[in-house]
Amino acid sequence: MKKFHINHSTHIHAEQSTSQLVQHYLIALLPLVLFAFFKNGIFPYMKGLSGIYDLFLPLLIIGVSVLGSFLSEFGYLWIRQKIKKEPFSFTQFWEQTYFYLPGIILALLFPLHTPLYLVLLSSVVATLVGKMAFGGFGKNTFHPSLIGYVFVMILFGSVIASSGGSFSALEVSNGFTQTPIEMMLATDGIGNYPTFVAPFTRMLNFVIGMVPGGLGTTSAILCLLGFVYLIVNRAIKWKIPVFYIGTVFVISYMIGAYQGLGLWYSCYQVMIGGLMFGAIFVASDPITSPTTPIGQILYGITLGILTVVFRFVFPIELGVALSILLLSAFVFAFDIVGSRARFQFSVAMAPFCIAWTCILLLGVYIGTTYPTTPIPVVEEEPEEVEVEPLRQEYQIVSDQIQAPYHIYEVLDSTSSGNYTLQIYTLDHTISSLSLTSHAETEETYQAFMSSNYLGQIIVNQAHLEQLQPIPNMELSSAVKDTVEQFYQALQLL
Amino acid sequence: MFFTKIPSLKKATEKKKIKIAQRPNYVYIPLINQNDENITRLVKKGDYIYKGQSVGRRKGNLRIPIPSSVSGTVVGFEEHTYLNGKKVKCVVIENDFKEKTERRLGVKKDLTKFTKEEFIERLQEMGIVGMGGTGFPTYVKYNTNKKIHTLIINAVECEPYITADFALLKEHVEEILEAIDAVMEICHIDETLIAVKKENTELIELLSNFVGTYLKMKIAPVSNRYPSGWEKGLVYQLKRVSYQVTSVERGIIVSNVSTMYAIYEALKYHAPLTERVVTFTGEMLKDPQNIQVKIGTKVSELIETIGGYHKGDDLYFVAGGPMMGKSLPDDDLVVSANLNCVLVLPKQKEQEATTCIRCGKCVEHCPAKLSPVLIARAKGDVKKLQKLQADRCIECGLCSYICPARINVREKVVEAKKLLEESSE
Repeated sequence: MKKFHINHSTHIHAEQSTSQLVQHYLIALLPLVLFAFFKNGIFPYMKGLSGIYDLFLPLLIIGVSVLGSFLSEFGYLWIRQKIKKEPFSFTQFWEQTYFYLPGIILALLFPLHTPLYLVLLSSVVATLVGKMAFGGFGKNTFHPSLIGYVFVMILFGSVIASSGGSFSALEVSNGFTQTPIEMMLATDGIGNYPTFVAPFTRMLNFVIGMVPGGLGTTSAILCLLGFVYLIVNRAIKWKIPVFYIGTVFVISYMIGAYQGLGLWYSCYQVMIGGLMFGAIFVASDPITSPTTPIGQILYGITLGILTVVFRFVFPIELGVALSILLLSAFVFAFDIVGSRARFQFSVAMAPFCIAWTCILLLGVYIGTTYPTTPIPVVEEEPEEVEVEPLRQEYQIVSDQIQAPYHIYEVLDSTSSGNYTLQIYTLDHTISSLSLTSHAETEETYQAFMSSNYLGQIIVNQAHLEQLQPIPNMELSSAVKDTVEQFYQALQLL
Repeated sequence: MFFTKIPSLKKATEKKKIKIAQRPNYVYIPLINQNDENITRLVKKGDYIYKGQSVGRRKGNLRIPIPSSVSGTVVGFEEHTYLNGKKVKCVVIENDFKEKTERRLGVKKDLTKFTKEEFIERLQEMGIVGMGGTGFPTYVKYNTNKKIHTLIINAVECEPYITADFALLKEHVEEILEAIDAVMEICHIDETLIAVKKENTELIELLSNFVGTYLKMKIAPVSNRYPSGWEKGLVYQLKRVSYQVTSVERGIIVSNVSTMYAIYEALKYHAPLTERVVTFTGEMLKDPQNIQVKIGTKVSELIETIGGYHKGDDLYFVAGGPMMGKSLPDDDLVVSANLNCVLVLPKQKEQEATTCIRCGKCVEHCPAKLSPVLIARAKGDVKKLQKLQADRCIECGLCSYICPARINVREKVVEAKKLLEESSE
């Protein structure tokens, strides 16, 4: 009898494996890493504003962060293996701990001028406290990167700010002193296009990311590109970012509408403060987010509500990071609701109703408690308008009705003397025009008549401002002006 | 319902005709029905038995005889592997190759001339059971006072590799349709839907050539995804109704094509269920085939007749399809009425399970709307499992199939399901 191997699972498998999922995340992050290098390193260097150290600083931060994750995770496992005498294989560590992913995400969150020792400290804290204390890869409750980031930003925020914050040499030379989120929070969210967007030139800069902020978190378009890539490869819980960003968008739109601001305001709100990056790459992290579809939707909505609260009610710069960090402690609750909701429609609907009510209330509450007229309006200097010397108005000498025409005789003058125009009108339009008397030289008169300028005036009577007068002939411009004024008066009859 | 796209892998056998197996010297009729080994033995060692004579009968409410597939002498009782992996007592009969039947009852010309009672009695007598995989006694489904309005014929075969039903339909479409027509007439059923995968255009074309004769029959193309042949999902797809225990409660009966063919033989020739078509396939078989075999034949003998295995040590032997089939340690398997496929596969790479990353794919793909990851993480907490309704699991295997960490999620959910069943008893 032939013997066979035993396999308790299914005998065919879907292709995608965990390591492929992580690879997809890395590929999606790659444009952001490159962008961080270009924006913070290459551009200032090319303009001759920074040295060779600053050129490679972005990459250095990423390198140090990944190195910190590697050392701490490897060290932890190595020491534990020594103490507990557990088997330890380096290949397994290399292939299955994915230490580099939180390292890269952490580095992209930091401001450019974060001292390297703080980056290292942060990535060590991220790995040891955020990951290993919970039992390693796959068991952590909170996103390790957020633990490290929030830890350093809260304790050493002032150190980072004093060493230059997020402003690259190029941004300093452009005169930036605040990041968009700082600027928004400084005015409690009150402002308008000139105060929010104009300092960074135009909206497009937010889309491509040429504004100060986290190392690699500012580019909305590259975040979205990564998002699309992850969706196409089925490597992301797409519901979380969609509903997270969507909720912030909707509430911001309501607030903006109360302040009389347009759609640009909600677009602006979702592109600042690292929201795009946080929603797409951090909030959707599989380990620290709900597994059930409805749980994911509710999680996204709640994150959006929390972030708005952190922006408008308790203004905190780390709003996005804190919302995700706080809420990931309650992932189990979202999963309970989500798993029940699969069987029972009412269980699914109730939280949605609550969520929508929250969104509505929050939008109305913040919207109405804010002043409807934006306070800090940048006053525009009034443009100097060249005032033309007023010309003497024409006189209507006579008017008579000769059915179906109404004939006017109009007197006006040039520098050489008066002239009279006879105007036939029919139903608010000029149907015929003749120069009955004038004080010009015979030459001018002949030139004027032979140019058929009067005919042109009749043809273009409705838009005479576009008709050019005959060069070097005062009579033509005078007649044109007269008829223009007359025509306007005629319309009012 | 959102099913999952999985590869079909049917190429090796889908174009092949049914091959009739050599008649075996010995048959080993397993004394089991639907995982119930509570069977009354009706023969003893040394008895001469006719083809179709009952060798055992299931006890309890679901009484059903187990017919012999050959005529010959009972030489003893041995334990052999059943498709669920268990060793089961089998009646060993030495074949005298005479195919003698006890009585000659003649051919029924008009299949519709049965009363419902006669029909149900015939199904029971002939030992007709569900041949799609469960082995549930068929007469029980039809034995109802409820008005049955729809009969669904399941010809979906949504599991990869398996082509047994497809091959049978290709060769016996007329007989099967005749049987369906008769069953509709006898049980006063208004409509029949023959459920076929949308992508199986060959079968749809074949059926549409014949279905025209029967006014109340329709071809119902269903999703190509897995598990669209799952009874509950099929009923929901076609009729938009859901039910608790059986579809009969909503006036719908679902029968497999192979079962329908067995019904045809039972009605027409008074023939008990003694043969079926089994797909022998997989990359490690030299000559994959659809084979018509006698129930009780040893699979190892059958595999020898079609050229045996490819060389190699790391093989897997699976009774059933690649999703729900059971991997067995040896090829001591005997053919039973509900075995539709034997699969021999090479060793797969990357089998080892890694850490769960809570990606939620198992939740997304579960056709029974379970949350497998949460069930696995409940770690046997009965209260939690009740709330997660782990007993709804249909063991389709999609969670294990889709898991990027290659965790055998199904095993954990099935354990939870068993735990719940035990605790409720």
